[in-house]
Amino acid sequence: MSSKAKRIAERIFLRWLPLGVLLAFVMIPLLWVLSLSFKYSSDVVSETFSILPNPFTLSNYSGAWSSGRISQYFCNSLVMSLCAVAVVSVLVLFNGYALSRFKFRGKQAFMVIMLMTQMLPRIIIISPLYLLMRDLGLVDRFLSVILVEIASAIPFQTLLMKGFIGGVPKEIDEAAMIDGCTRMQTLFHVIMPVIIPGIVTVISFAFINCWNEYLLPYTFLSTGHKFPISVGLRYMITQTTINYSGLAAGAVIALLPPLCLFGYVQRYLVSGMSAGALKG
Amino acid sequence: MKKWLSILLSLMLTLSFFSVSLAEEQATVTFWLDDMTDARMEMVQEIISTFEASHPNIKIEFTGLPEDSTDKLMLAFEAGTAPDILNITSKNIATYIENGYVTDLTDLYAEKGNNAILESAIASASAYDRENNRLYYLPSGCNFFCLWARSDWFAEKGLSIPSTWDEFFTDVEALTDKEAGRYGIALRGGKGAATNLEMLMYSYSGITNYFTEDGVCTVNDPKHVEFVDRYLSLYNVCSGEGDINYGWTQLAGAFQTGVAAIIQHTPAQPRKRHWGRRRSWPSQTGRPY
Repeated sequence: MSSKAKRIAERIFLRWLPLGVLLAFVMIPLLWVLSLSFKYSSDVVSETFSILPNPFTLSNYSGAWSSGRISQYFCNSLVMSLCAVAVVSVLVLFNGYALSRFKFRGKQAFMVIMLMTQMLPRIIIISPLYLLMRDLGLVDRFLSVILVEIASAIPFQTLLMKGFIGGVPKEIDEAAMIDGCTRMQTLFHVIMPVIIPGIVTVISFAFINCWNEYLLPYTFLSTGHKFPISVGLRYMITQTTINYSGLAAGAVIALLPPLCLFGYVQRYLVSGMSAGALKG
Repeated sequence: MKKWLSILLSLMLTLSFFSVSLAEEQATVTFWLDDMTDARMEMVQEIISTFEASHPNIKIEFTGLPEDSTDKLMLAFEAGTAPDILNITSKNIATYIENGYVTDLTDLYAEKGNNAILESAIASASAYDRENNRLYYLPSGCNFFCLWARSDWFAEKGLSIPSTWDEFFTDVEALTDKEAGRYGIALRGGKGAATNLEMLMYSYSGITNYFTEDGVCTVNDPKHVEFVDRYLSLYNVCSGEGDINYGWTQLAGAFQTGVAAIIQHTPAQPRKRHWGRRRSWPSQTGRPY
């Protein structure tokens, strides 16, 4: 086989074919949900199989958004996620800088403890968390969900941020301080612009985790109209029936913010993830 | 629909107990109901609004939860934040009684119940308290086996709703039009299908006991064998090929979306619905429907 043919064969079998299979594996369920969301309910359970909706309808979206209260749940999700992400991104920036730049007693132990918290499944600690929120008078309030989401996100995001900041040479800090910058000025004016990909990565991961959260809001909230979209979609699955089309439409609506976020930040994500992985 | 009407009537009854005892005080009553959809929540909200209008000193804080909120409820009980009124499924009743989560309603019902609920139902509900036979919840309704039929399809074909098994089999065949995507029946498959089949075959044979007086089991009676052969021969002929996996949800879906003319099932899952503090209902045994 000539070298050119060999290169083409390698490209096909080692690159495009595996990627194609992986893409199909990932995209087929999403495309199926999209297809369901544009079909009438009767067409969903019909014995005639068709990928393309025929007839095509947008009624599932309008129905889910208005009468299905998805709009309310969507807003709730947005509020809880954005509040949690805003606090997480500030806190992990400081945490990551401290762990990356300073030496202090108990630093290793602190990092190990942070890692250990990630090994506990949330469901194990949900009962004591609920009792804590009850004692704080935060049951049935957004703040209970936001606080726990912040606490859950900080360990992993801190370690991620530590890696990003660790990739910035310390000499840059020293040069900045020689020029008269304080620590805070160095962090905000010198280091932050360099680690934008890392910050975007942290925000994206934190947002996705908060957006997808089900157990916390379902446990801590007791008023129906306060639930986020992850719980709200569950109303379409009942003991006697499943509204497949409405559920699919709701799922597509729920997918939009993370999809838009990742579409916008994907170039930062790739460089951010690799930077955090290799350095620090 | 009937199930929901019975639940709502029981809600009114339960609330009326509270309204009598809270007649002059301002009170807020928390109320959780699971297996909710937005349509159901609207219906319940209307009932509550009507109740609050006639009882201005009582405010109902209603929370509709998605299906099966057992875990949430158990946590709420342990934390002391459980609602005042809730619905319970039969699998949890004994646990709630034994853990002291629910209030003894025996005296309250005796004083204010006006015998509104069948005595046999109250007796069954009390039986869940194995030690003292006290009443901890109010029955809201019962499950019974139904034949659901698309009357519009029957009218199209000039048929009447079957009243005998022979009519049933004839009608199922007549209503099947595979090319149009219509089947005479959707068969219950999946988990729990054997229970359905058992109820139907005893209905077909008219036998009312699992054992004869001589202690011989009646399950393998020739009439039952005849029915099973006849009924299951409908599969993939007068029913869809997918029926073999059809649980209640899929069965209801096939009926509601114009795939099947007839389905046979209890109106809800075998787990029972209970009201107020607690309710239980005896399990159905193979009775002809």
